[in-house]
Amino acid sequence: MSTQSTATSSRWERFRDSYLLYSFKRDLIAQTSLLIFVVMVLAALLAPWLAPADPYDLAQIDILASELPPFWIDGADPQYLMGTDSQGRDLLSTILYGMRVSLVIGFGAVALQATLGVCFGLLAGYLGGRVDAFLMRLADIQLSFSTLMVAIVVGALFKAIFGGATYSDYAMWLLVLIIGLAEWPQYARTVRASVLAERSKEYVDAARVMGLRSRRIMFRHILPNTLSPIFVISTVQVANAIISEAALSFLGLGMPETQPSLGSLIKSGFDYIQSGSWWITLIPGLVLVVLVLVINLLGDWLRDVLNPRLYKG
Amino acid sequence: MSQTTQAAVKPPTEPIQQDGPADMPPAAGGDSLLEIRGLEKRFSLSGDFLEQLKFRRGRIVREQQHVHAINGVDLDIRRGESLCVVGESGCGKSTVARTVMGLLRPSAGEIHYDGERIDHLDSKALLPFRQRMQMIFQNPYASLNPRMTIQQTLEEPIRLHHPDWKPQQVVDKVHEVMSSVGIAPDWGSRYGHEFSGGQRQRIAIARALAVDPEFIVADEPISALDVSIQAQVLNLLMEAQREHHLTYLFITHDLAVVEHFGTRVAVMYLGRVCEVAPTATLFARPRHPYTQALMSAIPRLEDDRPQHLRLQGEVPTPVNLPSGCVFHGRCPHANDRCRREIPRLIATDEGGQVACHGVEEGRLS
Repeated sequence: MSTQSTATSSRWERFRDSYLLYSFKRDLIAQTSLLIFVVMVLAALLAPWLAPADPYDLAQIDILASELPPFWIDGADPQYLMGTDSQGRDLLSTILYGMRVSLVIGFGAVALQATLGVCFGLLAGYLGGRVDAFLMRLADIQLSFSTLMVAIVVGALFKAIFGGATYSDYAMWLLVLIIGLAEWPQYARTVRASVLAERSKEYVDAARVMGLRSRRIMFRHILPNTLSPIFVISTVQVANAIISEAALSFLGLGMPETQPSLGSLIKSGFDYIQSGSWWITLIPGLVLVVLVLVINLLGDWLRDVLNPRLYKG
Repeated sequence: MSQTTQAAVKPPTEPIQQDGPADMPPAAGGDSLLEIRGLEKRFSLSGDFLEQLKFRRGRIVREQQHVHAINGVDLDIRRGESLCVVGESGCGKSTVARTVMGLLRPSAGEIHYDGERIDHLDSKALLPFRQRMQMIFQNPYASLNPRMTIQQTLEEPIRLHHPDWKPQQVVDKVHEVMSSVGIAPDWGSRYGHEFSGGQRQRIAIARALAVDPEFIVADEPISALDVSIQAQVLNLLMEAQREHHLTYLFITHDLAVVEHFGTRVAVMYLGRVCEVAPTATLFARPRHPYTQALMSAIPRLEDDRPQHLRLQGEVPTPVNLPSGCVFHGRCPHANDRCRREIPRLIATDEGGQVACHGVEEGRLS
């Protein structure tokens, strides 16, 4: 496969010469954001090896060591760098594990949104007519319910029907499902708009004249040409999904306290903020803010780079 | 544009008067590759059903407006010829091309390819015909997928139509068509945007040739190119015709190209064919008044005393077609019959066909 190797090498060369990389090299904010994001993702992924303790292991939790402050405050135990929460869990470990849960929910929900939204958007834009009208009205209906409202209703129903124990077992996947299902219209609308623009171009007609099937035209010809907006929304949507999850957990409808996410950590610490243990809420809160901020900054940068009006002139 | 076809929830009134029974003009010569009979294409301007409902004088009525892009086109394309279709912008040339290729469904009429009716086939049944008929598009900057390399672009139709070919066979075929259009085969890993307009059009031609078609519809293939490149691409098309025994349906508005390229010419006006004739005949002796006006508009070097036939008025809107002959409002020879009755194509003694009551009656030479 000699042709394959030349194609891949030229792909690497194209990336090396691309405007994307050029702009990235000149943008300090994007570089810093990406660095912080990568560090956070790695820390979350490697949590079982990095974290000093396992918050899921009840044997390692010492209730007597609860509400210890972080290391720079008097009365801290050097064993617990960031202090402990109300149950005596090491806060640093819990944050690392919690970030993992938040990121899985964020990316999982966005993967689901993207799959649904891209498929519906492609179908609506390419087939047009009644399919288009039906799917877009469906999207309108979906958008008229806020994500949180849908999540509260579904989560509460699930809890009521299957009980708290089952809910705890499936909480993470349930959140992925809810946030994923609630936000697909964002993708569908954007993809549909791009598809409408692409469909009128002659390469689509050429593919039809060739006799290609609609599915292949949609996914092989049109979809690759609508990827830039999809990338941009994806970054924003990951941040949104993480925030939605945190908000739900804060309301007590997200992750249970035994499997803390950033949101449920913030919630568990919130009860103690008056009694002086501010770090249980503040530190996970800061982590959440930084995580969402860097994702949004990356998204902004990507939007500027991929917007052809800004550089093609 | 302000008038509308009104109908209180009843199908829109047919604006085309049927001229007698459905006796079609005889197929000229027995060797037609493509026969177009009574082809019509309307595009709705009124949106979906809810948007069509209007409140008029206390009643809810359904209003529909249509653009009559083509209304009643009869054409025969003979094996091995280059039939040029000319006409001004908006006369339906491209719609004919796109309907023939199955990109648009005709509103009425039939298309027969090599004796088989193809206009009503679904995409699966159409697949064998897709290999035999291909299309070249107007804009080479839009007709190549920007995310695919040239190699991928050219391999795709071959893989589709020859699923049993080995990878090496496909690659060989791609190289062969690339060389045949004058693109070096080792440029295959490049993308469309890395080529100039003329090169892109060559690649688009290579894509059409890749499946060894016998019939090619070219929709203004050179109008987006520089004049210096136009001749090259035109010659490439003629060369390909000689080598592969192709038949062309060539859409253009450039009469100089027609003279150089076409064996026969069809002149269209407002969605109808007014005259079909061999190129030399048409240029030497145009019969239809519109063709005469068109021919007199060609600038000539020796033309020191220009005697342009000036047409009065504008092309009528295709939303509300004139009754009778579509050209009667601007025709200096129009009479009552022209305003009433749609002229049919009649054979002339010089091997052409013309749709004009004046010619039929002998009023016009």
